[in-house]
Amino acid sequence: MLFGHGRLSGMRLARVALRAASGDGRAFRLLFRTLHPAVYGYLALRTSSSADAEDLTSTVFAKVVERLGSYNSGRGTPRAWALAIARNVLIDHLRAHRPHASLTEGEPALIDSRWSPDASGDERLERVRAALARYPDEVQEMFGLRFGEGLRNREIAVVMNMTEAAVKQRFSRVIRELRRRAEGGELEEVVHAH
Amino acid sequence: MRIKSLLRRLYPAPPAANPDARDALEAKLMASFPTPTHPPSRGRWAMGFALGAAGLVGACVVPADYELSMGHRMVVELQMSCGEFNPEALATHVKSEFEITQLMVGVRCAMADGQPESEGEVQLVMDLVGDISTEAVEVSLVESFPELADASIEFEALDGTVHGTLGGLLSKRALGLELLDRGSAEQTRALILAELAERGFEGTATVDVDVEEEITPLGRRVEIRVEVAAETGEPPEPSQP
Repeated sequence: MLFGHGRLSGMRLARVALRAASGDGRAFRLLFRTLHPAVYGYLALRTSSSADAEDLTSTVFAKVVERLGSYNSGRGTPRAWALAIARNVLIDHLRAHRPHASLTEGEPALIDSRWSPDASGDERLERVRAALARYPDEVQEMFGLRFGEGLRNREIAVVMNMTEAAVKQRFSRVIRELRRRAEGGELEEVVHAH
Repeated sequence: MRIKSLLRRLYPAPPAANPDARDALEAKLMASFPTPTHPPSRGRWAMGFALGAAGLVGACVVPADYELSMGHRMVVELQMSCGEFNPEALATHVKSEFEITQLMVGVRCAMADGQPESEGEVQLVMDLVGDISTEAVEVSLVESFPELADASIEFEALDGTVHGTLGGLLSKRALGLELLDRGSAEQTRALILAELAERGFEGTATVDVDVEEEITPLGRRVEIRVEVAAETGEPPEPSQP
């Protein structure tokens, strides 16, 4: 079993990335095998077909190889770095494939549109889901990265090009509000501009 | 239930990738990296093989030396107290998880005050003889031993060189891993003779095997020397890798 090595610590994987950047093929293989599930999973949950996800994954890793030399471990983990590349590749893909695409339009929504089947039939979960769905796309994307992909605040900041403080602040506020909704607060009043 | 637990339940597990597509992509990307060349072994623990032949008749036997990959040396360096470090647990884990023919371990601890409970630099050297994936070993260890998460783990190949005209005749299997696995010189000799017979060798052959072992501060040093003298009128079949 060589795949699914997501449990390597960020610091350790950063060292692997730096070794790969110096041309160490063995290190790159380890890096690829560690990052591939995260990159593919991220793309597969946000595209309409596994074929699209595979194509985009291929594009992402081509860019990873191309940019390995510029990877800076001080700016984030390799996972966050690779997912930031994946996010940009996904944005380009969605822009190119949406009808009447225009550069003046905002970024396409990068939220994970598939809710877990576990979310059906549980009243509290339904309320949280309904409340979350009313937040701006950016907030929903943050929650997908945190609770879907399992990224940490610092990694989310790298992926979404925000400051870590801004990510923390936003999570803190929205989670507080969602907690209120989950406990039976006024669902109808929820949230608009954040 | 806490809100964060609820939120985690909202999101589906990411789908797994198609293994064929993933492997194809890996192969394509790996083409960007140079084929690894084994660095020279440090020699201290390296296993040497020498093979000599006399009186062999046959045009297919080409005198040549070739490198024989034996396995890998793993060097782990980390900061912790020597008293807490458990090299036996690591060795047991590796032996149970991977097909290791032979495993040798050496540990060096450097404490500023000489006290085993004080934190210092721990260096573990583990020679792994066998056909292993170093990546898999590394990941398995890091996943199973959290204290290794920030450790430096490096691998280098353990190479031996086979010299002489029979180098191409005897398979790596005969000279390498299984030879070590069988351990004794007598078994090694029988194995090589059986290998010769299997290749169609009809003649007389004598095989001398010397195994030297030395206990060093870092562990056991093993050197195996194989001498083969054979005479025949028929060229043997070349070995299949």
